[in-house]
Amino acid sequence: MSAQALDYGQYAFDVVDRIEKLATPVEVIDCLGDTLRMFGFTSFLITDVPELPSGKQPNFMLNGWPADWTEHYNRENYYKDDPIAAWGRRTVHPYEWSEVQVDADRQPRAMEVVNAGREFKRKFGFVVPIYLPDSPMAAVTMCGEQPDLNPGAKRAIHFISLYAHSKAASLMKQKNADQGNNLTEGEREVLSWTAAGKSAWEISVILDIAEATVVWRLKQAAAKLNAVNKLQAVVNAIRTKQISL
Amino acid sequence: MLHVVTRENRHLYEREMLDQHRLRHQVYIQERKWTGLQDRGGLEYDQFDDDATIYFLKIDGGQVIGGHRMYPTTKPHLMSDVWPQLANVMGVPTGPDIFEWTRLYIKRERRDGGRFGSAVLGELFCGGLEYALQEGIQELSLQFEAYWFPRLQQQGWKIKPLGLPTLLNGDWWIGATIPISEEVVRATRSFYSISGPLLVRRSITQPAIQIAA
Repeated sequence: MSAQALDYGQYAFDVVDRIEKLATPVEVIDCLGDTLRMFGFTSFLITDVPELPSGKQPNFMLNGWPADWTEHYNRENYYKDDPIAAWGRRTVHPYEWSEVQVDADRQPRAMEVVNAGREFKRKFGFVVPIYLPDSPMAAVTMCGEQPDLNPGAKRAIHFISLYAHSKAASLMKQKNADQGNNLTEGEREVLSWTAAGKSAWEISVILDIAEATVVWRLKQAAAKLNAVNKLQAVVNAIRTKQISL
Repeated sequence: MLHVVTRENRHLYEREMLDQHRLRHQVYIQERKWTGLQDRGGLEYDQFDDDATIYFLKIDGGQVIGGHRMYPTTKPHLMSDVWPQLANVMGVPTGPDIFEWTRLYIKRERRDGGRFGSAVLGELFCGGLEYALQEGIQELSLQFEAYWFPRLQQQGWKIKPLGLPTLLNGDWWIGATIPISEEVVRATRSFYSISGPLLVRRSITQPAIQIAA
């Protein structure tokens, strides 16, 4: 074990000790951001990674990407062809963007996404996939122009990202529970589709469940959100960040 | 129900013990292709399968369908002798009230819960923790794949990592201990909807702490 690797280990454990004492998800995310900057990453995000072809776009728990890139990415509808996101749907292992293979001839759209990223100076990135039961897959993704990507640094970042995500998620869950707003995954799903303008019957077809189940989940969600109807339930769920549009 | 098998009552489980080694062979050598394990005629066992090993067998309809084992850290054990790199920051924890928890397996047909396993997994976890609590074990030392970390936290385990994630057999692993308390047993049961005790102890009298001595 080299001295350098040991230093990364000690550094990572110190950060985790600090995270352990934090009281709010925002503090955890700030601490993660400060740490990633130490490693030369200038921006990062925490997102879920929806399966294709659900048509769903990723939900951001935190979007630290530059606004112009996010705007471009969404406008061009890159998600479904983004090879870096696609890799994340297939692995539990952290990976560098440079490890993702793109065949320019067979995947022209994927190549376009990669090239667009380069134009936005998004050269070096690292992704830590996060798995939680009953939740969509998630990932902590970071990017910089000259980050430290040696093996020891990557192990430290892997460790800190897992820890920070887990801590932030548990604090958030606790907060929602304190507010009496702990929606189940099923309720959240149904509310999200309602927010997208789908009727109970349409949602039942989309999710392949009974219409009565959809109605029941909406009713349960409305009760938890102190809402008198489904419109108000959607509004309250968005306001308390339990769903996003 | 989860059967506890020690040196004292192993004679009651001869066939089941063989089933266990056969299943471990299927899971760790055939499926996961771990290097460093020996194929012993279709069975898998190593230097930490001896008189000090405490086995846990989930038996359903006369068949072993899953299990794991514990081993005293007062003796050379997996973390100290084979994978010390997993404890490269905090060091390998040892002591008479610290046991190592390894070789968890579930028969393939009984893994029906997707990536994170099944109802059987919940029983394996809860039974192991129940034993540790009853025996006055203060900490269990274990290794798990890094992607399990958020999940284990979520099921109420206060994970104390021992080192950074380390690549072993092509997967990222973390070494850690978990403190044993009534709270962790309660939280894990609640997470897996398990209502109470699961252990079966036939003809055992020797406490774990004596096995470690």
